[in-house]
Amino acid sequence: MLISLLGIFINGLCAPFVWRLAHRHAGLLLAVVPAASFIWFALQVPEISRGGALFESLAWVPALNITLGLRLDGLALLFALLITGIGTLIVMYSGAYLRDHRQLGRFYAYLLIFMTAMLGLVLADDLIAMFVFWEATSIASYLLISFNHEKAESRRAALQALLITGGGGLALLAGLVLLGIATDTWQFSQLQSEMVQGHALFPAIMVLVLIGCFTKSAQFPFHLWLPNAMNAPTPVSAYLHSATMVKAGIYLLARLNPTLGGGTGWSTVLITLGALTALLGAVLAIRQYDLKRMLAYTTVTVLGQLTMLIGTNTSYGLQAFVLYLVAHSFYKGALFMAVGAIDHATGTRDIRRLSGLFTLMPLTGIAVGLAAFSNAGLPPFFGFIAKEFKYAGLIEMGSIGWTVTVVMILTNALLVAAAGLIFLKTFLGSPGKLSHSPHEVSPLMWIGPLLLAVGGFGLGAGNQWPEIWLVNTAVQAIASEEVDVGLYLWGGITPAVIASALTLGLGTVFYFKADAVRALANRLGSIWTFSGDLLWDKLLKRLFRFAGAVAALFQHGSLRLHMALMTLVVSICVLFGMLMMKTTPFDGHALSEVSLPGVIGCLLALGGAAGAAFMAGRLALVASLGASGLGLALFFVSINAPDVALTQLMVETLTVVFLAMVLRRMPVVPASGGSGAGANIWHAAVAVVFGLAVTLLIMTAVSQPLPGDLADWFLVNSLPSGYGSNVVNVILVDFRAVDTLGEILVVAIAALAASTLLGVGQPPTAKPRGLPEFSSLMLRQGMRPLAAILFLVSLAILWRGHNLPGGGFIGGLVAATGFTLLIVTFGRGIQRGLARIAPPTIIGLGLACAVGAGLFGLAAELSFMTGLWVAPFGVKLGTPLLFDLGVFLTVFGSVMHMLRNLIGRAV
Amino acid sequence: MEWIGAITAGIMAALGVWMMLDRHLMRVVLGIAVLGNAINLGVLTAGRFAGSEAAFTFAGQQVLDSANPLPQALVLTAIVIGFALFVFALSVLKRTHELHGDKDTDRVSQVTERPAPDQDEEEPYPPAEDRKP
Amino acid sequence: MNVLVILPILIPLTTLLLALLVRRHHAWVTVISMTGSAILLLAGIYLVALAAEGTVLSAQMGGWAAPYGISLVIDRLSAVMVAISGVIGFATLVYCFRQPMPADFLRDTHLFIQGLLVGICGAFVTADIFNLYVWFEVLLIGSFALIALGGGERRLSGAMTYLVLNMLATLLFLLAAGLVYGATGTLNMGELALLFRADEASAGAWLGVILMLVSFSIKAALFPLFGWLPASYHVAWTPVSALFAGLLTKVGVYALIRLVTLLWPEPGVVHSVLLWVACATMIIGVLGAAAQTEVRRILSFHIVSQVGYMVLGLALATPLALAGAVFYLIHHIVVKANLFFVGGIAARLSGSERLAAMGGLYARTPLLAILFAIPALSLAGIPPLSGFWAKFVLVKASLDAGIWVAAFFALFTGIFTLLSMSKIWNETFLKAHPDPERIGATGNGPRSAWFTVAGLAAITVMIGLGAGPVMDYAIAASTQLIEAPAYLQLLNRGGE
Repeated sequence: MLISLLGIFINGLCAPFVWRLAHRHAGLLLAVVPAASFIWFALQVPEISRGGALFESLAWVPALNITLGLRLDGLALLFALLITGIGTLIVMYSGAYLRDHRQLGRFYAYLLIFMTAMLGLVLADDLIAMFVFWEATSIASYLLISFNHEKAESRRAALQALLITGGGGLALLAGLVLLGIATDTWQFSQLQSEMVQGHALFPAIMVLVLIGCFTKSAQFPFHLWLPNAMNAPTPVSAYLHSATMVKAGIYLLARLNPTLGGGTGWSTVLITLGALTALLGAVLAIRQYDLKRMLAYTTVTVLGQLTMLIGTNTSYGLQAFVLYLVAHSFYKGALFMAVGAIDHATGTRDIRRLSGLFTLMPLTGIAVGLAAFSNAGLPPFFGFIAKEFKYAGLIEMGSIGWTVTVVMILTNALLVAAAGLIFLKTFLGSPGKLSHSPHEVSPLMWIGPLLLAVGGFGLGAGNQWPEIWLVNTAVQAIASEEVDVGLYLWGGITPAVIASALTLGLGTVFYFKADAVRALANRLGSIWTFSGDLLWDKLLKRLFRFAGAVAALFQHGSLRLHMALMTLVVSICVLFGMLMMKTTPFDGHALSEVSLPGVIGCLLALGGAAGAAFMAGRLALVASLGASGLGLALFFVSINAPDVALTQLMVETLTVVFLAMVLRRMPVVPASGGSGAGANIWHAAVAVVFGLAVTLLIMTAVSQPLPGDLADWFLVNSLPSGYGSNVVNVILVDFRAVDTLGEILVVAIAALAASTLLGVGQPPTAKPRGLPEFSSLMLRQGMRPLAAILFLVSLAILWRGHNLPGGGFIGGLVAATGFTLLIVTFGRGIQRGLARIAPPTIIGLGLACAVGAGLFGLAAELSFMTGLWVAPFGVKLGTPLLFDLGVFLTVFGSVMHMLRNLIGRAV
Repeated sequence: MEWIGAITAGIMAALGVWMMLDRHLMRVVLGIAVLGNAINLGVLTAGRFAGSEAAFTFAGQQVLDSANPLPQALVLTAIVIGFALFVFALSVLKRTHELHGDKDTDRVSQVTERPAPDQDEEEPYPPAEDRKP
Repeated sequence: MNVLVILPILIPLTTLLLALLVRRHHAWVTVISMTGSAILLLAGIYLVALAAEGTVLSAQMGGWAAPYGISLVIDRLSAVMVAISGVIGFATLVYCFRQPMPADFLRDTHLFIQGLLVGICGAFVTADIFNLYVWFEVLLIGSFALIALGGGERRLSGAMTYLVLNMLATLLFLLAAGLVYGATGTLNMGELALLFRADEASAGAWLGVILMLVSFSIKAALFPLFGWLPASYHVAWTPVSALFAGLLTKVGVYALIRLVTLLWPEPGVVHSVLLWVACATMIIGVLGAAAQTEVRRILSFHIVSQVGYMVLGLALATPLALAGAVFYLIHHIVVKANLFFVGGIAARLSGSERLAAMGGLYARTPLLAILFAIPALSLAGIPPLSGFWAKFVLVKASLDAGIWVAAFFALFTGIFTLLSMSKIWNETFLKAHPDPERIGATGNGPRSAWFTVAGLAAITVMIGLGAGPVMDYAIAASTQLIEAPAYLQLLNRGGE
């Protein structure tokens, strides 16, 4: 079984290439593998008919207990024969039908992939494996329906089919998962009805599975995709949308009938919806003039009847199910193919224009005739036996059965009329007016229909053979209890025979009064103003409009709105959390004392920030920001954080420089709050809430004493283990060096990125001069020594940083400041005057030092960044110092790089 | 003192957010800097202001009443990172100003909502003559 | 052992600095960058192999014992994230190879991508909160650099939006880290885990962690904080968009998963909140996508929706659900990046990114159609591709836990995703191009781009068909996340 699946699949993948090589004969070549599979399955018939079953299995996801399990029992065998047999004929047929199509190769591929999926579906023993194949058939169907993709109609139909069957598929998935949970197994073969029927999840499982099956098999109200699927090329309609794919839902219903079936809920739903669908399909079928669409609606009818039959759960009903299944596949496949042949030969499918084709297309005519008789349920065709048993099955059900029987008589009468229209009107009578004279089609196109039609006759006439070999085991597979299977053509004057006779009679009447019937149906149709199809379009439109509204909420393009929303949400989360925890941040444990310098620093910081927030004018902005930074630095000093204060100071200085450079060429910045009173209040509220949240957060964090001993450990171990007295520096370059490594990387990347942005659009020929404000001679003379001093100081700061306030960062920033002075005075040309190393190289060297310092530890089989120390001539040197040098170089190089590009532009 | 720090951090954070909601793009970028400062202050405050000496240990000395060195190291890192990001933001701002001529925050951010340009209409990367090595 | 732990950070970092030193020779930069990426990819695979057999790598930087020094831990989740980052990084660089852009633009892209990878890998292997902040900053500045690269009005505008909103997120993270230290006295994730699991965390610690989670949520683009993503991802250069789409939000998701599973292994109030957030994210994301008319905008909204799925797995908190989240992470990174890449090729062939101006590609390049169909179907959850298994596990986990709502949202979103993907398929491939002369007018693009797309599609198919081993790994990873032995024992390790 696996081999045949794999074989067909690979056959499909190779199809485009085979087609490209063999063109005319590709159909025949590609039909070999499906035919071989058919033969193989046929060979299994004796074994299976004796009641045996074949199992094959491949582990797929053992962790979830899902296997690619395959089981061949009666039902599966029946379907497998149908799929491979009809499939072979269809492949050959397609070769002729689409002979000159450019994309025929792809068509073959999709068709064969579909065949694989469908075959896998019926053979699957594992619920999830079956679902995999189920969805695969939906996708293959989509590809095939949209085959004429240039037409918008095809695309729409394909999408509709995909969404409806896909949506149903998802419901089915939920149902299958629940079934798996309820029964603790994923195997069909291990399902037992007792496990499920009493379970609490049973109603949910039933509903979800039913939705899945109904969408796939086009039951009301999901039937609307099937007629639209007729946009696909005829071979597709013949194969997927009559013989196989739409039967997948029916198959699953049958397969699960022993497990889920038998209860009143199950039966009621199936019978009601099935019968309704059947009647609806029949009424709509009569209204059609297009042969293909007529066939489509009659397929809907039959699918409804099949659903109904499973629901009856009676002996005759289940036999009728299997019989009808086979009969319908045969005659529908034949009819579709024949209609395709007619279309190919005459150029039209409109029954108003077709007539008298028998003389011109005899072979097709015979096929259609035989198939139509089976459709109509005339003896001795297989369709007749199916219909008889169907009535018998319904009548067996008692009073409800009688009502449904009446409905069915009506339905089937309409079907008889339809069959009449298809055969009698189209083929008999005098030839009508046609655009070009038709002729019989190529053998590949009539062999299929003929074989199937004759098969329908043969099975009916020699009905012992199918009974023994096929029908028996299939019925046993789907029944909850043992069923006595016996097929016969004539069983005496039973109510079923009377019903059949009535049907035929009524049908004949309908045929001759076809126009009247059609008019009646149309009148009913006009009551039915909300056609499912139009609803579908409206639904999609509404959906997209709703989606648009949702999207517009978040796609307003306003940065301020995004920012405000985000800040507000954050604040609310935090404040809400605080409320939930009922914390009070006001714990009176010992906090540090208030110091005056600290308070002054805070006030200065706040004042500066407020100035930056509210004042207009560029100078005001720069000055306020600088003041704010200074205030912070003062505060840092007051809380005994000298390194931090120094860093803040240097950073503030450079910030001011950069800001000034950037603002030089920008127009005046207006005062804030210019967006209108409403917006101002809203923004102010957001800001205040956020500030409140921050304050409360910090206060809550400090409301208890600081736990842990990190601080003490660092203080104690800094000198003995880190060989440094400046604990903060030792933390930065030794204890937590990897943090600093990441940090200098940030600085480096920022510099490179900023320079890339700023470096754009510079006229290269412009002479890099310094800023005109710095052109005083005295200044220029004094600048070089000043810069030199700054450089030396920076080096000193670097060196002593490990034991005294200082370090790589501060040193680098000081050096950068020195460089700033030089560059604003002398312009970019200064670069060539000094070292010839470009700043990015300095950055690279800095990073290399930093990484290299860490690698020493690795080389010594220790951890990355382990501090290794040597003491040549009594001077303690170690990898942390190398690392600090790396920090120095990176920071210096980065700032230098950014400045060069900034200054270059400012001039 | 922690409370003073907390309150200052809170007010500065509010000011920062106010600035980031401003109509003028320059103020938005400056708001980032102010907010960053506020957060740095917050982190330091959370580490407590214990101790009356700076975090230095010298040989032969007892570890006295020193400040907590860890938050200081963290904030130092944060200050430098913040500076780097701020300069980058400034460069984006400058370039935006040169391209748009506009500094209205919302008008600038609206530009992303324009439909995608067609491939040959796309703004070409600056031609070779204009680029620096 | 020590080397292995630091490799994910060291490889891209060394690549970056080597490339920086030879940056004038563009060809050398490309060679170094791609070699470095390939080595990272191989290292990632090796780490996954080690992790799969149960080895958890752990090291203390500088030899200092936890919680005084920085700890690095590579468990199953970290290993597979590093590996996937290697794959996507390499794929992106392959895509960029020989693109018709100026040479220094390409060179800069290479440099910044390496920088970005350092941050990403660092975030995946660290076990220290402030260290995580530093790596987040590295990846942030890397992403700033990349998104602004190339300039132009539209791109810089998006870069500005991205910059401002992400700066807020990262500042919040910094504050949160400081608060957590202030309330617990430690920055080590293992010690925090011990504290929270023993229910000894103070209110301040809780609040700090909550703020941290909110910050991660912004990074991960969860509802209602995702606005920045659809406003910025679609303006970058295509391979950069793909790299972002694949990896950036996932770092946020990883951080969420890591923190939540470490601190709260049992379902609690945090999980309940995350559940609703996840459901909202899934639906709003996919609805937003349905309304878009440009390829990358649609895909950007889908990122949001799919992140909802991953957080759903986290929120359900059962081992199966977490396994689903891990599987989803792996699957989605590959698929999303692939879709962006394919979209890029399709846009170049059609001459535009707007759906209305595209078309006719199914007839012209069936190969591209297949290469689009595979990740698109995978995203929509069609079996037997990787997306199906990911969704299946999440649906099963929801139903197992009896949370029907979550399962319903997950499936409902699935059908919408299918709708979205088929919309792109219809407009880009099936329908005829409004101006057929333009198809392929700007050339087919470099061959390497096709290799990238084909390679990633192959990976998707392999994960789908070979879901067994991947699922085993994911389930083992989820158990490891909940029990977290390596993290909980960090404090017991001495220095080396």
